[in-house]
Amino acid sequence: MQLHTLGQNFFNTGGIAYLIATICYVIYLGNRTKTIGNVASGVTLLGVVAITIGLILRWVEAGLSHPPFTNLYEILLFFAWGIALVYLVVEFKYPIKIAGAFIMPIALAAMGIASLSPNKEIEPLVPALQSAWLHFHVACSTVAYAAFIVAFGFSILYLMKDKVRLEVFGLSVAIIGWFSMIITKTSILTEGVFRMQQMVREGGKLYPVYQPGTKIPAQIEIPGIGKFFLITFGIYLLAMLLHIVFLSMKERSISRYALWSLIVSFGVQSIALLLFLLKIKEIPEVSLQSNPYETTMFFISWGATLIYLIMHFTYRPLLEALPDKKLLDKLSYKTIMVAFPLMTLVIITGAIWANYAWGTYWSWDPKETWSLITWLVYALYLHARITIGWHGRRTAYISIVGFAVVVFTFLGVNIVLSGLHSYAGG
Amino acid sequence: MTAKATPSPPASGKSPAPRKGIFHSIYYAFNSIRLTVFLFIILGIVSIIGTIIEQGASPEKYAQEYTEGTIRLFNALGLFDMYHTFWFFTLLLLLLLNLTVCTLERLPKVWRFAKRIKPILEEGDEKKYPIRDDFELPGGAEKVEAAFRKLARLPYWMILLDIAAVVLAIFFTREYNFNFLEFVSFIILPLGYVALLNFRGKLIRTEKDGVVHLFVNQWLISRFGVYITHVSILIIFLGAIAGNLFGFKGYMAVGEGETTNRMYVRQARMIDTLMDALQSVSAKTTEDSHTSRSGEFTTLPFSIRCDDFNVSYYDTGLPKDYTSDLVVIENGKETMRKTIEVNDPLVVGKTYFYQSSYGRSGRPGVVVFKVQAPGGEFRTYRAPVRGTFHVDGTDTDIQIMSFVPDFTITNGQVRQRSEEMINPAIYIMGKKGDHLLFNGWFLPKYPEYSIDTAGYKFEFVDYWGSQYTGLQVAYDPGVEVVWIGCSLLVIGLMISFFHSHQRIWARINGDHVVIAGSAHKNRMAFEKKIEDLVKLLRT
Repeated sequence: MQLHTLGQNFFNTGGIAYLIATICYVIYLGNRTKTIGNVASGVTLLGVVAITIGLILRWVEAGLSHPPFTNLYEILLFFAWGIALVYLVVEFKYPIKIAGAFIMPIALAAMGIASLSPNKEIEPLVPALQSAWLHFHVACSTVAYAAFIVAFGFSILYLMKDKVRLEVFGLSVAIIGWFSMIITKTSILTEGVFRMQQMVREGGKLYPVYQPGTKIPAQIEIPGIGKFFLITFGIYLLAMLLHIVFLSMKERSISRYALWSLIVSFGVQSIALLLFLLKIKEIPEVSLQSNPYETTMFFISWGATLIYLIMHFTYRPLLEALPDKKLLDKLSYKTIMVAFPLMTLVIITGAIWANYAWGTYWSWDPKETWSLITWLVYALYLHARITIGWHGRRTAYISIVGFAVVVFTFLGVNIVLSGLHSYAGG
Repeated sequence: MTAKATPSPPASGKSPAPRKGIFHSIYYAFNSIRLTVFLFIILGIVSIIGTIIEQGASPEKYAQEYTEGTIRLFNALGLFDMYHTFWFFTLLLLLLLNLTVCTLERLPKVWRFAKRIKPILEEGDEKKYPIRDDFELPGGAEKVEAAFRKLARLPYWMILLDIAAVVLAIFFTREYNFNFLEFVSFIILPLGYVALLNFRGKLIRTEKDGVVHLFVNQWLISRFGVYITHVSILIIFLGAIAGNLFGFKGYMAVGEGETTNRMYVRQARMIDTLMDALQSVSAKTTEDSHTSRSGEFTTLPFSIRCDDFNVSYYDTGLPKDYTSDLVVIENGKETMRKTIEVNDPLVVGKTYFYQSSYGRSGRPGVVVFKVQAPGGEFRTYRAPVRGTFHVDGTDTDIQIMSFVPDFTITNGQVRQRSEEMINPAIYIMGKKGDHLLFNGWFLPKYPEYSIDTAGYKFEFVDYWGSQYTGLQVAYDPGVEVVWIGCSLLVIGLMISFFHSHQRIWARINGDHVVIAGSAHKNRMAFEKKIEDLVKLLRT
């Protein structure tokens, strides 16, 4: 147990390092002093080292029988580790420190979601997961997904440098926010209350509770926060409309209102999320896993709004500081070029494992299918780029679509669709 | 193809003008990268639909989720088993045709280009290449040749890396049962990569009219990486088709102590299905056809006996292992024996038996015990529930009154929590003649709550005979082909993405050195390489 606590301390250190690094990168974005930039990179490295040690300790704790990537908590840690590592490698090779302010928040978010996870214990492996191929499979997938996300960061920066209107990003953020509210069932919209699935803990695992004698999920109202979410939803809707109006009319004053609507919705959403987290701690019958899809979307939309606001307020210095757009374009391409063979390995090692476990290497399981879709999107990127000769905006848009697909493959499939992959349960 | 992204080999010599005719217009329709992009998008979207609509669920489930009209529509479109429909198959086929035609059209061009590469840099040729330099260097020929030789050499770190890969491969194959799969992925793949590395190119030296020409042609293979990738995808599909045509999937349930060769066919050999269809068309029904159909039972040429099935649990109650002790019986003789578990199947010839499920067979089981009389030794005894056995060397009889696989007490009542063997409990009664020695529950996992057994010691071994093991049976002659394809796929991607074809020439005329170079990818790094080379030569 002592080893466990020690490992946890290293993860906490890593998380704090990521937080400091993110702040430093954002400051660096504003003033671009060399010292701050170096501190940011140094602290990121520190965080990566701390998480590496933590993961090794966890591995030792598990008796070296299996590497520490079996449940969602471990996968998210490993993922946060991978993003920072891939980014550090790129930063070491190319003058692109600015990108840290966009990529580190994603790593930080992964750490944050991991730290919210209720099951931090090392779980023994169920029989299907006891395979050497699992280790290769997960290791490849984490690094590949991390690299795709770094490439996405470069694509966004490319679009900025290419002077795509900021309001286009604003519109996307508003749509994400609005969508995240839409999926929280209709109870928020019609009654202004937020309900969550009731869960019961038995033998270290959480199980959903149903209304007696039926298959209708038993739900618990989380008091006080429904209104906040309803207001956030309204403002996001307003922001969306304002952005659309601005983009079609190009009236400056509307742009200001559009920005303010996002600032306000960010504020309200922050309060709502804070209350939400506090309430969840208070009520034992619900947990973050009660409605994982909605919860994840809340955090994603909140984070996206935050990044957009940072982008907006540092726009001019950022634009100046950004390296040549050709370099950004190339970096995105190169990162995808590294990630694509890895993604191929992910699918292959998964197939080998499936063949051992179920006697068939491909069964069109949703997770398999989505990993194939990811592969197709990036194959499309590479063909468009290498053979047709597309570059710049068009490939940047494909990279953004790729990012969305990666996020869905990584988290969404387990949460939304049923399948054979089990880690999201833990 | 635009010159910017990848300089296509300079096209000289006219390609034959496309002849008219339906075959040729179809052929050239497939020679289109835009078709590829279109197919990628369509396949992506269609695959997404297949993950949203649950595939192969029960009709009751669909009835719950969709209205009758929707179900009829989806059924007609095959959306409930989308990945096996005719139209999905057609999409894949189109992609394959597209890929094949594009490869057939482009590969010969690259091949011709590769053949045309000259090891001599003629006067004025350097102007054709993006990177060039010329300088005076006394005693140039030897120095430049030494530097070029260094360029052409295999870097040591690459060799070390490959040795490390092989060592790792051996470690893993020893650790986790050596077999063909590991062999391909860990031995062939790194070794193949080493072999490809040797294509790095030799130094070619030519002397013509007193002028020395040096040429290093590195990583020409990189231009072929994309075709290796494409061919490997074709190989994977061939393997998959072979597997579907000649392979089958089935299911067997074997009770503990039972022997059977009966298999339920889940997915029949497609060739049989096709033959069936042909026969029904020609209306000839042959009685002795050995074809088996999906959803029917068939017999295997050998039998499987299950000696024991066990589930072990972690302390948390999660399952740790499902194991079955299997014996293969051919012509009445035992030919093989293996304890299988999930991820570790039994292999008979090329038929694989995977641990996939288990359950109660409904037959009464036998409690297997180890019992030690006071002062005696542990001995194994078996008895059914309500049965009695005599402890050897004593005058004690023990009767098994009841068996509960998962014991729990609620409100003072003994209850069976589940069918799983999580907390087994046996109600035993020991008698010495008419004298009652002990009588009550024995809990192997909680000896402290068990009854006092008057000096007798018990060890619970198994409740045998009441369970069956569910085996997934698979015969797939295409699987190795698929793995070879996968292996090639990774190699192809690596050599096409991580290396670029680089050519470096030098023309040395006395003290005058001209250097020219060209790389088909990653030109910045290449430029740096040539700059470093020139700098080194000049100092």
